[in-house]
Amino acid sequence: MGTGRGVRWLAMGLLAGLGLLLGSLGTGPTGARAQGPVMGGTLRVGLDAGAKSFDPHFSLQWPERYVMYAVYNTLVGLDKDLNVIPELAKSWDISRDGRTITFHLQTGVKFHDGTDFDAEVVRWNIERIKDPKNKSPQRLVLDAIERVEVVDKATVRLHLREPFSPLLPSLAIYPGFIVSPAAVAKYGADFPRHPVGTGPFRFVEWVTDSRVVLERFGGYWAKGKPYLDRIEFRIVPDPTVRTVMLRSGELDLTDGIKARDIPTLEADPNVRLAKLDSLRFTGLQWRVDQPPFDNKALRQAIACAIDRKQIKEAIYSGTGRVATHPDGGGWWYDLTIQGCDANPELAKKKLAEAGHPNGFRHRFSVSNTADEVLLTELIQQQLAKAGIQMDLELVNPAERYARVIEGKINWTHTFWSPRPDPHIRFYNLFHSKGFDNTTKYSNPEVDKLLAEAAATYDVKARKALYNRLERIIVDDAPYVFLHWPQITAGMNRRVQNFVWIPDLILRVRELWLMK
Amino acid sequence: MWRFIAQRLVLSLPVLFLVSVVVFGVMRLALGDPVAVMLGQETVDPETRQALRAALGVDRPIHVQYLDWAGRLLRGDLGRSFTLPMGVAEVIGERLPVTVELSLLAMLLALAAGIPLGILAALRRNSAPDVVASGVAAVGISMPSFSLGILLIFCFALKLRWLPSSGFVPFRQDPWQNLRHMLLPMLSLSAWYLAILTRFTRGTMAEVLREPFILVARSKGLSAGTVILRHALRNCLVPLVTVLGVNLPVLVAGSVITETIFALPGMGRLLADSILGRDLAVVQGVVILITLFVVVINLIVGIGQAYVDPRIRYRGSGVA
Repeated sequence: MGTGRGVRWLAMGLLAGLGLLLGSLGTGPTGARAQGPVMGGTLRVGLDAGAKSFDPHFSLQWPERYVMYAVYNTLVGLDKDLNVIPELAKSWDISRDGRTITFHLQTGVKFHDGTDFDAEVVRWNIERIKDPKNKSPQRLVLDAIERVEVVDKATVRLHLREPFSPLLPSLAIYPGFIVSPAAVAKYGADFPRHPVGTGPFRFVEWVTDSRVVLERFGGYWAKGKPYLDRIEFRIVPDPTVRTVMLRSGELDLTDGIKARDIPTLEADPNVRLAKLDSLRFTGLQWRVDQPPFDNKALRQAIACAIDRKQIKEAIYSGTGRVATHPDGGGWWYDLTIQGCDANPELAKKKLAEAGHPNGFRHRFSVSNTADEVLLTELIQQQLAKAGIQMDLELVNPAERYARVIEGKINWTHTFWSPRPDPHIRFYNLFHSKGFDNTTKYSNPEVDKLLAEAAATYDVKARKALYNRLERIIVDDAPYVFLHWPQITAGMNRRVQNFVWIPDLILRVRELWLMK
Repeated sequence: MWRFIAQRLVLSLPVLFLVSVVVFGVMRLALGDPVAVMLGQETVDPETRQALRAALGVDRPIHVQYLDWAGRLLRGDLGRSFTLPMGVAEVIGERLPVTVELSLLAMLLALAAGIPLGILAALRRNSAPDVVASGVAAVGISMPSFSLGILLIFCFALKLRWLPSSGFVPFRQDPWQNLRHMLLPMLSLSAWYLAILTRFTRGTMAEVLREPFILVARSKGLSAGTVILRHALRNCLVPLVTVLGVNLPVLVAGSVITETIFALPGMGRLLADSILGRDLAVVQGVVILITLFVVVINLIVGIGQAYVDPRIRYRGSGVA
């Protein structure tokens, strides 16, 4: 005790400890308390099959957007709460009468081919979409714009026919992507294979159904970004295989993780999950303009007979949220709207009211995929308890929706992914002239509410109108709402800065990799 | 011999024509509006939908569409894909090498393993090698290729980490990686073919070995090896070549599942995706190509048979 040797050991121990402490404060591999983003590295992202075109004004497939958000910029962007934020437009003013939006653009922005981005380019892009000769699927989204005025190189003014608040969020998705006019002129019909934008990543190659490769664009207008050197999208159609590849280290990031794989992935130390309570809704639909479902009491009976909590446990492994009305999130979300759920007695009463006291039977068309059939069979069991019989018809998933449009399918399942503004989905589904209104629902009061909500920029007023609309929809039941699924992405734990945007498109441009 | 070949070629022309008409008709009449399927759940107004239909030419009467397509085909123009921004010939050209490589490797494996296994089983009937061979064949025929595929991925890619789980690297780019990526798909695809060949070789060989001339050859003093390989096997070859040829297109078609599981950008997947996505131009192009391929294979099989068995040659050319 207290001998010279003991003191020496103690001193050495202290020094060693101090050294370790000082060393760990530096740029260690964990980096958590160390620096910010690390530059460099290649990110390998799993992509579903189906990409056919990287021209955003004509793009139709979901996987294409993952690539496009890295290669292009949009006029405005979205944050994780679906608020509109600056992107190529650094600020904007809306006139008092709501008929004019003036965008102040970022300066010093160049396309990957060296040409300049300015107000004239914005006008060219918008007019390209609006030109009926080009047959862009986005044409009518910009219908509210009457005229585009170039005020000066950094200022562009949109003149609207009448005030239209959903326009601004729409410019954060497809119609807002800005492509290089010079590149379109150069490549013509081949432009979808040679996308040229102002985004942080330049397009390198696309081997159809195999991979898409992007590399860092050194001239990106946001200095210091992007962090990654390269992004490789590997096209792997089977989500099970993508999950395996995440675990084996062949992929750094993928979405489409199934609920039942979550426990295994959570136990894997190399994988991190990002879960999102999504705004996507799954449900049932039917034709409300013809018998038998033109009967409101019948529709309500079916909506009541379904036990959504059981669906959540059995089909979604307890993930996600029960849904009884269309929208489960966003600034317009109203938790107090409660529809009918798990009430077979009320269902039987409504069934009798509807004129079917001895039960009801009808054909139901379901995609012949394992997941859909499983869900449908559960619903079939639940409805049987209330005296409602579903006769299942299996349909090819690729053509199911086409047949719905053609009116050949009546009662079937559906899902709709969220849009950045409530008007877009509500109008398309519930307005009597909506393009996706395959239920043929027509309610003048709903049409009026939609017009009113689109004509004002006041967020509080819009929210009140949409909530009133949702209550009517729940009561009229053109759809039966079932579930808001949880959407999960899996990534290697080296991947940093991942943020889920509620439109469910993976954003890769802000990511960086730990060493 | 040349007359034989010429006869066969002429007979195949009506086949090509008939197939093209049937496929064209089925796709356009039975499967409905391609634009509706292409647009999926995207919100698009009716005017634009109609304009897209007109741009693809699918709003014209069906015989007009067929004549237009057939006319271009005879000029060597396969047209442009409905969904991809490239010509049909180019799309197919990108995918063909992958499927050809996969099918060839699977076939070679099946041949290299199946025939010897079949011969061995036939020689040692009802003994251990026969049981093993029959067992392998049973598994190969019964196990669905997607199960086998996923199993292989799980075992070799995930657990053992020996091989990549999916993807494709062109041979020109990196031969070693190309083979590594092809190994599991090749095993998965060849299983069925191998089983067929094993069983078939075993059966045919066993029959041939019972023939009197085998006994004669042995009693002449020829070695077992010579008897088996030169005499017995040669007699198996005619039906064997037929089996090979008839099942080869099935191998190409069966690659759809393998290509999907292993994410290989091949023609099988292209065909399946194009049918589901109503890309009529690509479907027609691929089907015509496959038909041509089958016709050529049949021709080669016929020639092969005639070569191996001189009796066919003389019969076929009309000489008594």
